[in-house]
Amino acid sequence: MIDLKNLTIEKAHDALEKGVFTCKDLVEEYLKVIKEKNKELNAYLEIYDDVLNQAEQAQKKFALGTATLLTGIPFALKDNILFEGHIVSAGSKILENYTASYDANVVKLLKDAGAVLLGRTNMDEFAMGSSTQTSAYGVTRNPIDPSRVPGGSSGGSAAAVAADMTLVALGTETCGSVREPAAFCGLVGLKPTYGAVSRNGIIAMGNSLDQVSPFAKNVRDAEIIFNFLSKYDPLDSTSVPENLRMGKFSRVLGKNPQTTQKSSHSKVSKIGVPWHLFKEGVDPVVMENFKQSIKKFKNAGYEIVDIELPFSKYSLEAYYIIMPAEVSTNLARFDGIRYGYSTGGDKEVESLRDVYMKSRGRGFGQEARRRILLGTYVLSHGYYDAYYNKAIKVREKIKEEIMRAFETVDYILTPTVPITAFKIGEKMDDPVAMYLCDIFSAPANLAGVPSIALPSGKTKDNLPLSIQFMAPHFCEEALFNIGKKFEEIG
Amino acid sequence: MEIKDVEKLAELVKIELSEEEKKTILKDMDGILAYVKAIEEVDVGNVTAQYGLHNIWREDETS
Repeated sequence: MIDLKNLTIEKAHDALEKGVFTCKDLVEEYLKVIKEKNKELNAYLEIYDDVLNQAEQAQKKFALGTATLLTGIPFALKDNILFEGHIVSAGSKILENYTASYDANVVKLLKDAGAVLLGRTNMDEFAMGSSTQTSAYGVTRNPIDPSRVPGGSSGGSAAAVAADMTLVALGTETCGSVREPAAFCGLVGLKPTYGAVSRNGIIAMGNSLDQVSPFAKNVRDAEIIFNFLSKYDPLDSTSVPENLRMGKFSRVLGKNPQTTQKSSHSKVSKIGVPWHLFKEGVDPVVMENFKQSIKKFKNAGYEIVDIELPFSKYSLEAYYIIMPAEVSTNLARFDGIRYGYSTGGDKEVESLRDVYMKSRGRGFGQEARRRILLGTYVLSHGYYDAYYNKAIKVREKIKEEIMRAFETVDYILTPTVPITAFKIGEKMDDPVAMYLCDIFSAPANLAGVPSIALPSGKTKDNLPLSIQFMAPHFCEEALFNIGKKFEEIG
Repeated sequence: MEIKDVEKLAELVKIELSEEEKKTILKDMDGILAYVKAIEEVDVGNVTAQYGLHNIWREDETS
């Protein structure tokens, strides 16, 4: 029997290389757990039918000596990542039988590396939510306390990793959709720099914000996955070419372009804390844990300084204007004609307009419909300047102030989420209360900087707590370094 | 916002809504717009958005 609880990518690779177990043994072990737990947790929507074949192909790479660190490593994929020939529904009824016609760039990279893709995981519909309760395919439960949500929108992937139903998983982030579920399930979640990982083959929600992001049980695993996936992709117009990935931040700040953040970060250890952002609305247990975490860093020799991010106070407001605006355009393509669910053959349908109205009315869930209408409203002629135009200007100010902050500090530290995992059914009638879960996530997404959520302890009820670090663009390595340090001292 | 605004938006985005759904969406959108309204108080000076996105309006005339 394989010790799945304590397994890491490197341990699994070592065992596979030495023949302690085979790729098939490892996959079968996870399939057993999935069979046992998925009925209750609803983390997976589907287990791919070619999993054992994938494992056999991976095993051949070991025999041929072409195995990589990811060969034979089981992954779960969020249900908005295209895997050719397999259904991908984005958690929505409107795409319930849609089969991907090509592989997402990240899927290609994982296949090339020999990873085994176990199945697709549940998510909030089109990634709209913070609890995985808006999925058309039922709620996913938190493995730590099944009466609670796993977070969202990538809640299925988080639950699958936390319940040992896969070793690692991919989710996507538009605003905290990996860091928040990582926090609720006691995992590491990385939101990479915007442009670091290709969005090609990801069902878009907010194009200027979306990023594919890994879940893992430890920082090193997240680092390994990121290093495999962080590649320039000419098929994604926002993918940043390799030669522009280092020094970009330095140029913007007028520093010597030859001085990369990578090298400067290995020497300095100053952590900025924007206390003014969380004066209110943070659960006292979360706040106490955050203070204790800061103390640990102080004791380990880090310098902690107060920083002011006055525009970031408006991050969530800006996000909830920009995101629905992008949603309203992205989801216009789902019309009952080109993709998925359609009422086209129904007797009651009398015209093309009817097909559109009924297919979209019945195919989209409540949250998706709400955001499409809201996005259309903020983009409409009379409100464009007051809402959308203002929000993108505020976004620029947020980006600017965060980059300025990194002139004096190496990291920005906040709690990941102001609360712990809440009960299933809570907040569903109050969208603003649900949106407030994202309050500490939004600055990183709007500014495009990387951020990592790290487990920082548990409440007396065994609920996970989490802190998050932000670093300058393309300084993921700095995040991995401080994350590993926290694993040592935490 | 009023129900007729929700109806107009629903027609624009081609989404059929029941009477009950219109009421719920109206309530939710009022709440969300009241929340995001805080952005009005932000003084952004003369910042120009990096993306340089702008809409090109035209008169709504039959050509």
